[in-house]
Amino acid sequence: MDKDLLKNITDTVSNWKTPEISNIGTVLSVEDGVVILDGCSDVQMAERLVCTGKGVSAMVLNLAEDTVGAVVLGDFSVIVEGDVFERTNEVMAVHVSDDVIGRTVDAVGEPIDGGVAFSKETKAMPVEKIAPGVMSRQSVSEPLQTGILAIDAMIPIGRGQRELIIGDRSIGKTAIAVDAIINQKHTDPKVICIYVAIGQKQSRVAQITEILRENDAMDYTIVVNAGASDSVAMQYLAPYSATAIGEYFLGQGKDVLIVYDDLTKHAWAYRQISLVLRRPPGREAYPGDIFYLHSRLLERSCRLNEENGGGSITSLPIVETQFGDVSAYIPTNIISITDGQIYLENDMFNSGFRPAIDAGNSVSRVGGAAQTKPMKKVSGQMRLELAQFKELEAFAQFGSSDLDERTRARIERGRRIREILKQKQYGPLPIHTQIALIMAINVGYLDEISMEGIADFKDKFVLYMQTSKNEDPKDSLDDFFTTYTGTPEVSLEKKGE
Amino acid sequence: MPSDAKNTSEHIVEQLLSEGNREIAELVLEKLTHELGTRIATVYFAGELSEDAKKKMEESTKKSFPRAHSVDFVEDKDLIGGIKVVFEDYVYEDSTRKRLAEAM
Repeated sequence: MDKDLLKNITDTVSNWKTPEISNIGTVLSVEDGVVILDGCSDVQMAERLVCTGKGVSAMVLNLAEDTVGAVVLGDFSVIVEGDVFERTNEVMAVHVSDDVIGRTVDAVGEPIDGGVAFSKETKAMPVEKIAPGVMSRQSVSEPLQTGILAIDAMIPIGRGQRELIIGDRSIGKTAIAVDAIINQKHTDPKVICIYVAIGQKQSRVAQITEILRENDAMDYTIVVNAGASDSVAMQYLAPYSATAIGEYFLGQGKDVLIVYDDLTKHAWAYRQISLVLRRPPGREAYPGDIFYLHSRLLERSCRLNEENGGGSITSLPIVETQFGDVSAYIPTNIISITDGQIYLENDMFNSGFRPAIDAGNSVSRVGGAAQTKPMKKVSGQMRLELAQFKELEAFAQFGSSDLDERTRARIERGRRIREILKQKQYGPLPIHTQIALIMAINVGYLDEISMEGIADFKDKFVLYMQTSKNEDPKDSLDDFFTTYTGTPEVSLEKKGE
Repeated sequence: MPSDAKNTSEHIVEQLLSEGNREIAELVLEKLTHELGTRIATVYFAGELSEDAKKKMEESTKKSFPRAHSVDFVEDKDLIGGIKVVFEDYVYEDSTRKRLAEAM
């Protein structure tokens, strides 16, 4: 006999271990990736089961008196009635290593981008985990710059915060999140970004991944994809897996940003699973624990104190509304869970105001604590002036001839603020450029520029700031206006202010 | 099932029959049979198993599964070698078939 073969057999036999008693369950039914098992009496919630002989995994989601309900993670078409699932005695987990950065993975953490397989040295991160307690946290005080002027100035997001992005379909919700990811390339050390696509078209996810790659954002980003063609089980699991991946980096003391795109589709997936599991439907046919579904997910976003590594997980969940109705079940649930919301408005979007952020209905409950001192100083005045403009805007519709000069000046200032808040997609602005732009408004530089010239000024000034070595925003502005030819009418007195 | 419970159950069935509640008595009997049936541990084996080996097997099975009321022996050539014990939703399998499947 071949010596190698003999050695192989000897090694295999010598490695045999005495088997243990296993707890099994027999498939009674399989519907839409949800199996009902008879048996598995010792199983625990969220435990991973394996189908004997078929290698397909399932996660326990329902413990009834006589049966166990589990969602199949993989190809459920091979599962038939009578198949046997065996306990693994381990809670469902994703196996994470640093290799995952820059990759696209599925809801169980396996690469799906055609790249090389992950190394064997991974850490098992449970997909379901109790959120860190109050004692291991610290308050949110460090800003997470999105690069979007309207957000960083008026709705600041802090590291460890949960800020909802809400609005109708095709209104620019994902664009804001993608901009926020792209802007993290300016951070040092880099904020690890995770983009979770739930129930989206594969082409759309590929498009977003490509945009991230083109902007060098894939160097610090992970895409977790459970597309529309994947099973509802995978769509249900994806945000939890992404959070588990985020917790791996949190454990290293790093800052993480997770974008859940979107939780409306996640709620749909859970509703489908719940109905197949025969759970009683409630409002809009969602099960009773739909609030807990999202609260236990978003509560895992946190900023840990120094004793626990000092890392953070910032969440940007996205929710889609129908005809701007924020009072629907899922939107109200998530509004109440998160620490603020960025509300995108249809009319603003249609009138060409992009990003269509409605500053009046948007809020950040962390507020100025998540802003740098210079930004806090300049943005306060701008916010106040914008609010005053909104009140006066109605009068302006009847013509401004009857208005006093002060009111007219306020209206003109407000219009310029709105104009400066317009921003191109995938073009996040560095914080010092943002501060300089707001300062230009506050000081009155833009009062002398015509409304049509604002966009030109902004483009040129942003370009200037990319090359300028001047660190002080005021000096940058003064320097810029000495050469800016777009507004010859800018008075010398204004420049000197 | 403990003998006390068995006696009580038999008494209930007899009582029901004497009172003419045949349908209920049959239902109780069916439940009892089902309950007793699931208390049987089944040992699947391949090849020969001597009476002495069966006795030892029965003892160790009852030790591993204290709730097992009795032990049945069924020959299963698919195992190739070794044994497989099934009791309720618990399985202990140390068969050649399983070893080979794991080695593949």
